[in-house]
Amino acid sequence: MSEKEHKNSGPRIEDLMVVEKVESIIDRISGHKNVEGVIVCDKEGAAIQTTMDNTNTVMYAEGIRNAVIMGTSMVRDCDPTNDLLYIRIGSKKLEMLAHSDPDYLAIVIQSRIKAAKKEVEQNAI
Amino acid sequence: MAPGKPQQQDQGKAPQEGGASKGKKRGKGRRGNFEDDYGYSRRDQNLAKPPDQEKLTETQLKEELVRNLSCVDPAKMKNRVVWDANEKGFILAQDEEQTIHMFHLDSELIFKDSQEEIKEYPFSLSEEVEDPEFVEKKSPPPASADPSSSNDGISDEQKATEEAEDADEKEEIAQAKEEKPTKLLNQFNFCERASQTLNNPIREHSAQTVPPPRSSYKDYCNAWIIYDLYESDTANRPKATKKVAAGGGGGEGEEGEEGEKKEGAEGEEKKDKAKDTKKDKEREGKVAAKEKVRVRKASILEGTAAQEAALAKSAEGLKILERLVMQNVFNDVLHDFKYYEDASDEFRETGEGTILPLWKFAYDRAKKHHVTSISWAQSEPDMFAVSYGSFNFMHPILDGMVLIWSLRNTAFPEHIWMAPKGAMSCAIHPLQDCLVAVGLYDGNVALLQLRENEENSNRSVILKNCHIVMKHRSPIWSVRWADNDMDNNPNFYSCGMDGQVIHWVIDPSASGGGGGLSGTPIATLHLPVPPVQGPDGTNYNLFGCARAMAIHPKERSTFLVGTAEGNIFQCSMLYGSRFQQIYNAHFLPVAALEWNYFHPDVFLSCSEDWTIKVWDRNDSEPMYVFEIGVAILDCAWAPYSSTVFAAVTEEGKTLVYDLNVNKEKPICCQQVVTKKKVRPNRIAFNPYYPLIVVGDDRGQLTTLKLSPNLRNLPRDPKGHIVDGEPRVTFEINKMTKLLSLVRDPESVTGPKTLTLADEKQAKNVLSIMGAGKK
Repeated sequence: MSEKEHKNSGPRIEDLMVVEKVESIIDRISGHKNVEGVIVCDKEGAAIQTTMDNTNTVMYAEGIRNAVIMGTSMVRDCDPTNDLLYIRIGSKKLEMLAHSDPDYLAIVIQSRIKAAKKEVEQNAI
Repeated sequence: MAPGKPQQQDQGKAPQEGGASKGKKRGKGRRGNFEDDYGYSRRDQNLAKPPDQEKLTETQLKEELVRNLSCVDPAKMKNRVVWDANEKGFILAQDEEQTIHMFHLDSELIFKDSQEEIKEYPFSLSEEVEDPEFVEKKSPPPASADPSSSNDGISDEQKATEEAEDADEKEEIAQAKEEKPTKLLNQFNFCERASQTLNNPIREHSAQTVPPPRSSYKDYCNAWIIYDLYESDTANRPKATKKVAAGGGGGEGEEGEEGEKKEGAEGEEKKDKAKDTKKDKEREGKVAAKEKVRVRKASILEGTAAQEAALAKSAEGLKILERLVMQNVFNDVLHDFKYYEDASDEFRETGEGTILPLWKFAYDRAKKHHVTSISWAQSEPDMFAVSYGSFNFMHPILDGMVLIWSLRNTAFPEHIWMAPKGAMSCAIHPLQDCLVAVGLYDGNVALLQLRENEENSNRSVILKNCHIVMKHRSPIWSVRWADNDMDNNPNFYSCGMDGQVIHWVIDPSASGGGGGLSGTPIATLHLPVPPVQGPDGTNYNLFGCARAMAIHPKERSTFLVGTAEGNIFQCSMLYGSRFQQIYNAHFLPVAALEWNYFHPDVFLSCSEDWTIKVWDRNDSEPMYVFEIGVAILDCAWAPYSSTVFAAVTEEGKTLVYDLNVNKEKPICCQQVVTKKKVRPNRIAFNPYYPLIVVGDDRGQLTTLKLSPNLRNLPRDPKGHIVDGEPRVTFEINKMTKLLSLVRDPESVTGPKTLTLADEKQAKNVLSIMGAGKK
């Protein structure tokens, strides 16, 4: 009991450093072009880190989590030794990138308006 | 009375009974014939006696035992007390009734002669007095009493029958007064003749066992869940067998597969037991409220800790996601890299080509640093290491860094190592990508370990040379990996401005600090000049300041070192005191040296004295000399051809030569930096793709794609690209042919060179360069 308490008395310093590092990565990604938001959530779909507002975070986290579960199921049905790592959902407006891991789910939402913009520019020319 | 009378009576009653159950009728019949229900079978039956039954004699059996019956239950407890939780004490329990109801049955039978019978069946009184039988009372009170009573819950059909019966009865009464009762008929003119067969007695033997424990369990199941469970089971199995072996005295562990299965089952049982014990423990634990609180606290902490751990773990995934994002952002560049080929190349008669700028790599903290070296990984086509330091000795930047870049993520380096001093050179191990050797400005070497392991959880450095004795006494200009030694330990060479070449071996047994690296000086580059007299009269041997080094790709013991004095030393690892050859190559420091990838004797050098030279190591004079008219800062052979090399000039141009196409002019000359003041310092070919990367003195890297003309690959007559051994021989022959072209006139007119052999010219160059620098 005492050992456990000692272990759980708080996050380790190393972990904190890594967490800072992760936060810096998240900041960096969200600074890239057309990136709408970055979400890191745990396996239950509860957001740990997010750059989006609450509604969108919950919406995307839940939706993509379901997609990931279905994707995992599909991949593993075909070959049980296999496992899903990434999914990339392209939609008309957005591109949703997700990395699935047993412990967490990382999601990046990127808009695809670039192509549309280009067309507009070409038309203008 | 006639003997058939009772039976007739029965039959006569049958219609009266109407909807009464069959069982009743049967019972009546039996009563007529037999003494008791099961009598017939009992007579035939041998009574089973328990073996331990006491045997009594006839007299004993006949002996009368007197039993007194009393209305008080002697077995009943007197003075019973119960615990009262309110009173916190025992109180006397209230005695209940002494009566025990053994049996209770509401009878539907009435006595024949009783008043009730007369009430019920007034008409039959006179005729049936002698009948000793009981008359069965109708279970619902007589429907005949009131034919209109439809509310009794009797169905219409029944009612109809009863009405018919009533009619019959009336007739019957009329007849009965006149004559003896005759056979009665129902409305269907149905005559019932009952005959009784022997019925087998119904016997019931039942045994009740303790029901097996049941529990309901629900789960989702499919192929991969089963697979996972099997996996975890096999992972846990060795432990289970150990436990069993320990529990069962070790005898069971030596059985075959079946034994294992058994053990598995036993293991599960044990698990169950363990679970039970766990549950018990939990129960015990739950009794103590304080502990409960503790547990709860721990679980909350676990929750946040788990989240943080997940977040910490997500770094890898996020890195990959960043790559994907970059892929989307630079989608067009990626397409150019993969698919764009300059179509105009086909129409250029001179065989010239172009280079197409692709990604640019820049890191915020390296903006003021110079790119001091670039090293591509040999096994990962997209990874390269870049060292950042400073070439400006007037205003040196004190710190430096080594960044590991990937083409997949152009926005941010994969790994960062901030060096305490300027990093002057770096090299990725050709086989073990995770090892990067770094030479620092202060003469130290460092070894980066990129792969994660137990000791190195955050993937940084680290073995560093801390030995004051062994370190270089001036900046290390070049580090190069050698083949692993006899013990398969990675080792590399470094050369510095102090004229030393040091061999470093990584000792895996010694770890931490600088203990993992052990250095041995291999050679000191003494200049081929007589000792110089110092101010106090002592003689000094002058040594060359090493600027560049190249290890022979095949003969790994041979290497070249270029010095700041312009000499190139060809040395051997095996004997350090002598040099195989000293070439007086340049008038200014040798900027770069590289062996040809195919031809074993050819190497390339360049210098700030405006020249690039191609050498045959057996010849003290260069084979080809290219005078550009501007300082050359770096040059490199192409890995795909023996005759193609590229160089960068101080002006910011990239030159690509193919000696096979044009021996005098570059087939590509293109500006690669956008700003005028920016000098590209380093150039390196990707070993897999037609890609070069140029690093400049603003810490920026530019990747350039070579157009098809710049990377002509040998083709066989059918047009397929030749590969493997024939290609190597082809490339070697190509180079040999080129060398022979130059050599032939040598015997007559001397080498075809454009060397600035005149010392005056050299001095001029020196003065120009000096002026330029100032």
